[in-house]
Amino acid sequence: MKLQIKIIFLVLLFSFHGIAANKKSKEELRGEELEFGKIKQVLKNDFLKERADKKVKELNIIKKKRIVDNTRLFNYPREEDVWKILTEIWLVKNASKLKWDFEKPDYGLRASIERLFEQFGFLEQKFRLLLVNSPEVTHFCLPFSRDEVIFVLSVPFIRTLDLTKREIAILLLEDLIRKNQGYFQQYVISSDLRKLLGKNFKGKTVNTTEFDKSLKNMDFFVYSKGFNFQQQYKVTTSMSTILKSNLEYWNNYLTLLQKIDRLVKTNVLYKKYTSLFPSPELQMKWILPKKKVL
Amino acid sequence: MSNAEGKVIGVFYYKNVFGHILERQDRNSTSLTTISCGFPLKVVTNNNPKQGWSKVSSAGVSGFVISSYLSSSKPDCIQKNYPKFISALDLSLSEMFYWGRLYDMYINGKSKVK
Repeated sequence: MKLQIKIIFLVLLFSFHGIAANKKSKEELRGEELEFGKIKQVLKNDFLKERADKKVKELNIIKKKRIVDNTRLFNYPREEDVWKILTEIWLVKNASKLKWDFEKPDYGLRASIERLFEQFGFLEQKFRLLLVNSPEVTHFCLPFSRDEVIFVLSVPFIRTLDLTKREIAILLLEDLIRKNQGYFQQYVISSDLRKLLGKNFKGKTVNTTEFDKSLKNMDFFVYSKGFNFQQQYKVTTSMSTILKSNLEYWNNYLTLLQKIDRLVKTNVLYKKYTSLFPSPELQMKWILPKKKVL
Repeated sequence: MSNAEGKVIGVFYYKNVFGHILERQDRNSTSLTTISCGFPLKVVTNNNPKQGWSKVSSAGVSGFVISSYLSSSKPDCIQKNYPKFISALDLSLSEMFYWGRLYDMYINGKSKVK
Protein backbone atom coordinates (compact mmCIF):
# COMPACT_ATOMS: atom_id res chain seq x y z
CA MET A 1 0.00 0.00 0.00
CA LYS A 2 2.81 2.34 0.99
CA LEU A 3 4.55 1.54 -2.31
CA GLN A 4 1.42 2.43 -4.33
CA ILE A 5 1.14 5.85 -2.59
CA LYS A 6 4.84 6.56 -3.37
CA ILE A 7 4.34 5.74 -7.06
CA ILE A 8 1.25 8.01 -7.33
CA PHE A 9 3.16 10.83 -5.62
CA LEU A 10 6.12 10.49 -8.00
CA VAL A 11 3.85 10.42 -11.08
CA LEU A 12 2.04 13.60 -9.94
CA LEU A 13 5.36 15.34 -9.17
CA PHE A 14 6.77 14.60 -12.61
CA SER A 15 3.60 15.63 -14.38
CA PHE A 16 3.48 19.05 -12.53
CA HIS A 17 7.13 19.55 -13.34
CA GLY A 18 6.41 18.91 -17.02
CA ILE A 19 3.61 21.43 -17.06
CA ALA A 20 5.77 24.08 -15.34
CA ALA A 21 8.62 23.51 -17.81
CA ASN A 22 6.29 24.09 -20.87
CA LYS A 23 4.75 27.34 -19.49
CA LYS A 24 6.17 30.53 -21.13
CA SER A 25 7.52 33.41 -19.10
CA LYS A 26 5.73 36.74 -18.93
CA GLU A 27 8.53 38.33 -21.02
CA GLU A 28 8.21 35.61 -23.61
CA LEU A 29 4.49 36.16 -23.83
CA ARG A 30 4.91 39.94 -24.08
CA GLY A 31 7.48 39.39 -26.78
CA GLU A 32 5.10 37.22 -28.64
CA GLU A 33 2.41 39.88 -28.29
CA LEU A 34 4.75 42.47 -29.85
CA GLU A 35 5.89 40.19 -32.61
CA PHE A 36 4.27 41.87 -35.65
CA GLY A 37 4.60 38.83 -37.78
CA LYS A 38 2.26 37.01 -35.50
CA ILE A 39 -0.22 39.92 -35.37
CA LYS A 40 -0.05 40.13 -39.10
CA GLN A 41 -0.84 36.48 -39.30
CA VAL A 42 -3.81 36.92 -36.95
CA LEU A 43 -5.03 39.92 -38.96
CA LYS A 44 -4.60 37.96 -42.13
CA ASN A 45 -6.49 35.05 -40.71
CA ASP A 46 -9.34 37.40 -39.71
CA PHE A 47 -9.29 39.18 -43.14
CA LEU A 48 -8.67 42.44 -41.29
CA LYS A 49 -5.59 43.23 -43.38
CA GLU A 50 -7.60 43.08 -46.60
CA ARG A 51 -10.17 45.32 -45.04
CA ALA A 52 -7.50 47.81 -43.93
CA ASP A 53 -5.88 47.77 -47.39
CA LYS A 54 -9.27 48.33 -49.03
CA LYS A 55 -9.93 51.28 -46.70
CA VAL A 56 -6.55 52.83 -47.58
CA LYS A 57 -7.29 52.42 -51.31
CA GLU A 58 -10.73 54.01 -50.87
CA LEU A 59 -9.23 56.93 -48.96
CA ASN A 60 -6.64 57.41 -51.71
CA ILE A 61 -9.41 57.48 -54.35
CA ILE A 62 -11.40 60.02 -52.29
CA LYS A 63 -8.27 62.14 -51.83
CA LYS A 64 -7.45 62.04 -55.56
CA LYS A 65 -11.08 62.88 -56.45
CA ARG A 66 -11.02 65.81 -54.03
CA ILE A 67 -7.85 67.16 -55.65
CA VAL A 68 -9.30 66.69 -59.15
CA ASP A 69 -12.64 68.29 -58.11
CA ASN A 70 -10.84 71.19 -56.55
CA THR A 71 -8.83 71.74 -59.74
CA ARG A 72 -11.95 71.38 -61.89
CA LEU A 73 -13.52 74.38 -60.12
CA PHE A 74 -11.04 76.51 -62.05
CA ASN A 75 -11.92 75.25 -65.54
CA TYR A 76 -12.82 77.51 -68.42
CA PRO A 77 -16.01 76.30 -70.13
CA ARG A 78 -15.57 73.58 -72.74
CA GLU A 79 -16.37 74.41 -76.35
CA GLU A 80 -19.75 72.63 -76.15
CA ASP A 81 -20.71 74.63 -73.06
CA VAL A 82 -19.41 78.08 -73.93
CA TRP A 83 -22.45 79.01 -76.07
CA LYS A 84 -24.80 78.14 -73.22
CA ILE A 85 -23.14 80.93 -71.26
CA LEU A 86 -22.32 83.39 -74.07
CA THR A 87 -25.72 83.38 -75.75
CA GLU A 88 -27.79 83.72 -72.61
CA ILE A 89 -25.54 86.37 -71.05
CA TRP A 90 -25.75 88.30 -74.32
CA LEU A 91 -29.56 88.09 -74.21
CA VAL A 92 -29.56 89.20 -70.57
CA LYS A 93 -27.22 92.13 -71.24
CA ASN A 94 -29.37 93.15 -74.20
CA ALA A 95 -32.71 92.78 -72.39
CA SER A 96 -33.54 96.49 -72.48
CA LYS A 97 -32.53 96.87 -76.14
CA LEU A 98 -34.34 93.77 -77.37
CA LYS A 99 -37.32 94.14 -75.03
CA TRP A 100 -38.02 90.44 -74.66
CA ASP A 101 -39.60 90.73 -71.21
CA PHE A 102 -43.10 91.61 -72.34
CA GLU A 103 -46.53 90.06 -72.29
CA LYS A 104 -47.48 88.38 -75.55
CA PRO A 105 -50.19 86.08 -76.74
CA ASP A 106 -49.51 82.46 -77.66
CA TYR A 107 -49.28 82.65 -81.44
CA GLY A 108 -49.12 78.86 -81.73
CA LEU A 109 -45.75 79.09 -83.46
CA ARG A 110 -44.16 76.10 -81.74
CA ALA A 111 -46.26 73.53 -83.60
CA SER A 112 -45.73 75.25 -86.99
CA ILE A 113 -41.95 75.30 -86.54
CA GLU A 114 -41.83 71.68 -85.37
CA ARG A 115 -44.00 70.59 -88.30
CA LEU A 116 -41.84 72.36 -90.89
CA PHE A 117 -38.58 71.02 -89.41
CA GLU A 118 -40.01 67.51 -89.39
CA GLN A 119 -41.27 67.80 -92.95
CA PHE A 120 -37.84 68.80 -94.30
CA GLY A 121 -35.79 66.36 -92.25
CA PHE A 122 -34.50 68.63 -89.49
CA LEU A 123 -35.28 66.04 -86.86
CA GLU A 124 -34.60 65.99 -83.13
CA GLN A 125 -33.86 69.71 -83.35
CA LYS A 126 -34.51 71.42 -80.04
CA PHE A 127 -35.23 75.12 -80.09
CA ARG A 128 -36.15 78.00 -77.84
CA LEU A 129 -38.09 80.82 -79.42
CA LEU A 130 -37.69 84.26 -77.86
CA LEU A 131 -40.13 86.86 -79.11
CA VAL A 132 -38.86 90.41 -78.82
CA ASN A 133 -40.85 93.61 -78.85
CA SER A 134 -38.29 95.57 -80.86
CA PRO A 135 -37.24 95.90 -84.51
CA GLU A 136 -33.54 96.00 -83.45
CA VAL A 137 -33.13 92.30 -84.24
CA THR A 138 -35.68 91.10 -86.79
CA HIS A 139 -34.83 87.39 -86.74
CA PHE A 140 -31.71 85.49 -85.74
CA CYS A 141 -30.63 82.01 -84.74
CA LEU A 142 -28.16 81.92 -81.86
CA PRO A 143 -26.19 78.79 -81.02
CA PHE A 144 -26.89 77.20 -77.64
CA SER A 145 -25.77 73.59 -77.49
CA ARG A 146 -25.07 70.74 -79.92
CA ASP A 147 -28.75 69.96 -80.43
CA GLU A 148 -30.40 73.19 -79.36
CA VAL A 149 -30.65 76.73 -80.71
CA ILE A 150 -32.29 79.97 -79.64
CA PHE A 151 -34.38 81.85 -82.20
CA VAL A 152 -34.88 85.56 -81.64
CA LEU A 153 -37.90 86.86 -83.52
CA SER A 154 -39.25 90.40 -83.62
CA VAL A 155 -42.99 90.74 -83.10
CA PRO A 156 -43.12 94.22 -84.75
CA PHE A 157 -41.32 92.72 -87.78
CA ILE A 158 -43.72 89.79 -88.24
CA ARG A 159 -46.72 92.07 -87.65
CA THR A 160 -45.55 94.68 -90.15
CA LEU A 161 -44.99 91.99 -92.75
CA ASP A 162 -48.20 90.24 -91.79
CA LEU A 163 -46.43 86.88 -91.94
CA THR A 164 -48.31 83.62 -91.74
CA LYS A 165 -47.19 80.92 -89.29
CA ARG A 166 -45.74 78.94 -92.17
CA GLU A 167 -43.76 81.94 -93.46
CA ILE A 168 -42.42 82.50 -89.93
CA ALA A 169 -41.38 78.85 -89.72
CA ILE A 170 -39.63 79.16 -93.14
CA LEU A 171 -37.84 82.31 -91.97
CA LEU A 172 -36.58 80.48 -88.88
CA LEU A 173 -35.52 77.44 -90.93
CA GLU A 174 -33.40 79.80 -93.02
CA ASP A 175 -31.88 81.17 -89.79
CA LEU A 176 -31.14 77.63 -88.65
CA ILE A 177 -29.36 76.86 -91.93
CA ARG A 178 -27.35 80.07 -91.54
CA LYS A 179 -26.34 79.07 -88.03
CA ASN A 180 -25.44 75.55 -89.16
CA GLN A 181 -22.97 77.05 -91.65
CA GLY A 182 -21.01 78.33 -88.61
CA TYR A 183 -20.35 81.86 -89.95
CA PHE A 184 -21.55 83.52 -86.76
CA GLN A 185 -19.68 81.17 -84.42
CA GLN A 186 -16.42 81.60 -86.34
CA TYR A 187 -16.67 85.36 -86.13
CA VAL A 188 -17.70 85.62 -82.47
CA ILE A 189 -15.24 83.23 -80.82
CA SER A 190 -11.75 84.61 -81.27
CA SER A 191 -8.78 82.29 -81.63
CA ASP A 192 -7.57 83.53 -78.22
CA LEU A 193 -10.81 82.49 -76.54
CA ARG A 194 -10.76 79.17 -78.39
CA LYS A 195 -7.32 78.50 -76.92
CA LEU A 196 -8.69 78.97 -73.39
CA LEU A 197 -11.74 76.73 -73.74
CA GLY A 198 -11.59 73.62 -71.58
CA LYS A 199 -8.29 74.72 -70.00
CA ASN A 200 -7.65 75.19 -66.31
CA PHE A 201 -6.66 78.45 -64.61
CA LYS A 202 -5.83 77.26 -61.10
CA GLY A 203 -3.03 79.40 -59.67
CA LYS A 204 -3.47 81.95 -62.47
CA THR A 205 -5.70 84.98 -62.90
CA VAL A 206 -8.91 84.12 -64.72
CA ASN A 207 -9.08 85.73 -68.16
CA THR A 208 -12.57 87.09 -68.84
CA THR A 209 -11.33 89.67 -71.33
CA GLU A 210 -11.64 87.26 -74.26
CA PHE A 211 -15.16 86.35 -73.15
CA ASP A 212 -16.12 90.04 -72.99
CA LYS A 213 -14.60 90.55 -76.44
CA SER A 214 -16.81 87.75 -77.78
CA LEU A 215 -19.89 89.47 -76.33
CA LYS A 216 -18.86 92.64 -78.17
CA ASN A 217 -18.33 90.59 -81.35
CA MET A 218 -21.88 89.29 -80.93
CA ASP A 219 -23.17 92.87 -80.64
CA PHE A 220 -21.34 93.91 -83.76
CA PHE A 221 -22.39 90.88 -85.79
CA VAL A 222 -26.08 90.91 -84.81
CA TYR A 223 -26.65 94.69 -84.95
CA SER A 224 -24.25 95.88 -87.65
CA LYS A 225 -22.13 93.42 -89.60
CA GLY A 226 -24.43 90.55 -90.46
CA PHE A 227 -23.70 88.13 -93.29
CA ASN A 228 -21.89 88.84 -96.54
CA PHE A 229 -23.19 88.14 -100.05
CA GLN A 230 -21.22 84.95 -100.43
CA GLN A 231 -22.60 83.55 -97.17
CA GLN A 232 -26.14 84.65 -97.98
CA TYR A 233 -25.92 83.10 -101.47
CA LYS A 234 -25.03 79.74 -99.95
CA VAL A 235 -27.93 79.97 -97.47
CA THR A 236 -30.51 81.08 -100.03
CA THR A 237 -29.58 78.42 -102.58
CA SER A 238 -29.59 75.75 -99.83
CA MET A 239 -33.07 76.85 -98.79
CA SER A 240 -34.25 76.71 -102.39
CA THR A 241 -32.85 73.19 -102.84
CA ILE A 242 -34.45 71.95 -99.60
CA LEU A 243 -37.87 73.51 -100.25
CA LYS A 244 -38.05 72.44 -103.90
CA SER A 245 -39.23 69.01 -102.77
CA ASN A 246 -42.52 70.75 -101.93
CA LEU A 247 -43.32 73.54 -104.37
CA GLU A 248 -46.00 74.99 -102.12
CA TYR A 249 -43.35 75.71 -99.50
CA TRP A 250 -40.89 76.94 -102.14
CA ASN A 251 -43.52 79.46 -103.29
CA ASN A 252 -44.08 80.49 -99.68
CA TYR A 253 -40.35 81.19 -99.44
CA LEU A 254 -40.48 83.32 -102.57
CA THR A 255 -43.48 85.24 -101.20
CA LEU A 256 -41.59 85.78 -97.96
CA LEU A 257 -38.62 87.24 -99.84
CA GLN A 258 -40.96 89.50 -101.84
CA LYS A 259 -42.59 90.75 -98.64
CA ILE A 260 -39.21 91.49 -97.03
CA ASP A 261 -37.93 93.17 -100.19
CA ARG A 262 -40.96 95.47 -100.24
CA LEU A 263 -40.55 96.27 -96.55
CA VAL A 264 -36.87 97.18 -96.67
CA LYS A 265 -37.49 99.45 -99.66
CA THR A 266 -40.37 101.30 -98.04
CA ASN A 267 -39.88 101.29 -94.27
CA VAL A 268 -36.94 103.27 -92.84
CA LEU A 269 -37.14 101.33 -89.59
CA TYR A 270 -35.78 98.30 -91.47
CA LYS A 271 -33.25 100.17 -93.57
CA LYS A 272 -30.25 98.30 -92.17
CA TYR A 273 -31.87 94.89 -92.84
CA THR A 274 -30.11 94.51 -96.20
CA SER A 275 -26.68 95.02 -94.65
CA LEU A 276 -27.40 92.15 -92.24
CA PHE A 277 -29.06 89.80 -94.74
CA PRO A 278 -28.11 90.85 -98.27
CA SER A 279 -30.27 91.28 -100.21
CA PRO A 280 -33.87 90.09 -100.64
CA GLU A 281 -33.96 91.39 -104.20
CA LEU A 282 -30.82 89.47 -105.14
CA GLN A 283 -31.97 86.40 -103.23
CA MET A 284 -35.05 86.17 -105.44
CA LYS A 285 -32.84 86.40 -108.53
CA TRP A 286 -30.59 83.65 -107.22
CA ILE A 287 -33.42 81.18 -106.87
CA LEU A 288 -35.73 82.09 -109.76
CA PRO A 289 -35.16 80.17 -112.99
CA LYS A 290 -33.15 82.20 -115.48
CA LYS A 291 -35.08 83.56 -118.44
CA LYS A 292 -33.90 82.18 -121.74
CA VAL A 293 -33.17 84.81 -124.38
CA LEU A 294 -34.11 83.53 -127.78
CA MET B 1 -46.11 64.55 -45.24
CA SER B 2 -48.02 67.78 -45.76
CA ASN B 3 -47.71 71.44 -45.01
CA ALA B 4 -50.16 74.33 -44.91
CA GLU B 5 -49.91 74.71 -48.72
CA GLY B 6 -50.79 71.13 -49.59
CA LYS B 7 -49.53 67.58 -49.56
CA VAL B 8 -45.89 67.21 -50.54
CA ILE B 9 -45.54 65.07 -53.69
CA GLY B 10 -41.74 65.05 -53.68
CA VAL B 11 -38.58 67.10 -53.70
CA PHE B 12 -37.44 68.24 -57.14
CA TYR B 13 -34.50 70.35 -58.28
CA TYR B 14 -34.56 73.43 -60.47
CA LYS B 15 -32.50 72.74 -63.61
CA ASN B 16 -31.97 76.07 -65.42
CA VAL B 17 -29.14 78.46 -64.58
CA PHE B 18 -31.51 80.83 -62.77
CA GLY B 19 -35.26 80.95 -62.44
CA HIS B 20 -38.23 82.26 -60.57
CA ILE B 21 -40.99 80.99 -58.37
CA LEU B 22 -43.99 82.77 -59.87
CA GLU B 23 -47.11 84.02 -58.18
CA ARG B 24 -49.49 82.51 -60.75
CA GLN B 25 -49.43 79.73 -63.36
CA ASP B 26 -48.57 82.24 -66.04
CA ARG B 27 -45.22 83.05 -67.68
CA ASN B 28 -45.85 86.78 -67.29
CA SER B 29 -46.71 86.53 -63.62
CA THR B 30 -44.77 88.34 -60.84
CA SER B 31 -41.67 86.66 -59.46
CA LEU B 32 -41.86 85.80 -55.77
CA THR B 33 -38.20 84.85 -55.52
CA THR B 34 -35.21 84.07 -57.72
CA ILE B 35 -33.74 80.57 -57.55
CA SER B 36 -30.65 79.02 -59.09
CA CYS B 37 -29.80 75.68 -60.65
CA GLY B 38 -29.92 72.73 -58.25
CA PHE B 39 -32.24 74.55 -55.82
CA PRO B 40 -34.49 71.96 -54.07
CA LEU B 41 -38.21 72.62 -54.27
CA LYS B 42 -41.05 70.74 -52.61
CA VAL B 43 -43.70 70.00 -55.22
CA VAL B 44 -47.08 70.10 -53.52
CA THR B 45 -50.58 69.17 -54.61
CA ASN B 46 -52.25 71.80 -56.74
CA ASN B 47 -55.98 72.35 -56.22
CA ASN B 48 -56.20 74.31 -59.46
CA PRO B 49 -53.87 72.38 -61.81
CA LYS B 50 -52.80 73.83 -65.16
CA GLN B 51 -50.98 71.68 -67.68
CA GLY B 52 -47.24 72.23 -67.67
CA TRP B 53 -47.13 73.89 -64.26
CA SER B 54 -46.13 72.66 -60.82
CA LYS B 55 -47.00 74.17 -57.48
CA VAL B 56 -43.88 74.42 -55.34
CA SER B 57 -42.95 75.50 -51.90
CA SER B 58 -39.59 76.41 -50.46
CA ALA B 59 -38.36 78.39 -47.48
CA GLY B 60 -41.78 79.85 -46.76
CA VAL B 61 -42.42 80.84 -50.38
CA SER B 62 -45.19 79.08 -52.25
CA GLY B 63 -45.76 79.60 -55.95
CA PHE B 64 -45.50 78.06 -59.41
CA VAL B 65 -42.75 76.81 -61.71
CA ILE B 66 -42.89 75.39 -65.26
CA SER B 67 -42.85 71.61 -64.72
CA SER B 68 -40.31 70.87 -67.46
CA TYR B 69 -37.78 73.01 -65.56
CA LEU B 70 -37.80 70.57 -62.64
CA SER B 71 -35.74 67.43 -62.29
CA SER B 72 -36.16 64.54 -59.87
CA SER B 73 -32.39 64.09 -59.65
CA LYS B 74 -29.67 66.66 -59.06
CA PRO B 75 -29.17 68.45 -62.40
CA ASP B 76 -25.94 69.18 -64.22
CA CYS B 77 -25.52 72.90 -63.54
CA ILE B 78 -23.28 75.35 -65.39
CA GLN B 79 -22.59 77.16 -62.09
CA LYS B 80 -21.46 73.89 -60.53
CA ASN B 81 -19.31 72.92 -63.52
CA TYR B 82 -17.57 76.28 -63.88
CA PRO B 83 -18.07 78.04 -60.52
CA LYS B 84 -14.93 80.17 -60.52
CA PHE B 85 -15.40 81.28 -64.13
CA ILE B 86 -19.07 82.20 -63.61
CA SER B 87 -18.14 84.04 -60.42
CA ALA B 88 -15.42 85.96 -62.31
CA LEU B 89 -18.10 87.23 -64.74
CA ASP B 90 -19.36 89.28 -61.80
CA LEU B 91 -23.07 89.18 -62.64
CA SER B 92 -25.23 91.79 -60.96
CA LEU B 93 -28.44 90.87 -59.11
CA SER B 94 -30.44 92.40 -61.92
CA GLU B 95 -28.62 90.23 -64.50
CA MET B 96 -29.33 87.11 -62.42
CA PHE B 97 -32.98 88.16 -62.24
CA TYR B 98 -33.19 88.63 -66.01
CA TRP B 99 -31.33 85.37 -66.68
CA GLY B 100 -34.05 83.61 -64.70
CA ARG B 101 -36.78 85.60 -66.46
CA LEU B 102 -35.45 84.46 -69.83
CA TYR B 103 -36.67 80.89 -69.20
CA ASP B 104 -40.20 82.09 -68.53
CA MET B 105 -40.16 83.90 -71.89
CA TYR B 106 -38.90 81.03 -74.05
CA ILE B 107 -41.27 78.98 -76.18
CA ASN B 108 -39.60 75.56 -76.12
CA GLY B 109 -39.96 73.07 -78.94
CA LYS B 110 -38.41 70.01 -80.52
CA SER B 111 -38.91 68.38 -83.89
CA LYS B 112 -39.38 64.62 -83.66
CA VAL B 113 -38.68 61.56 -85.74
CA LYS B 114 -42.00 60.51 -87.27
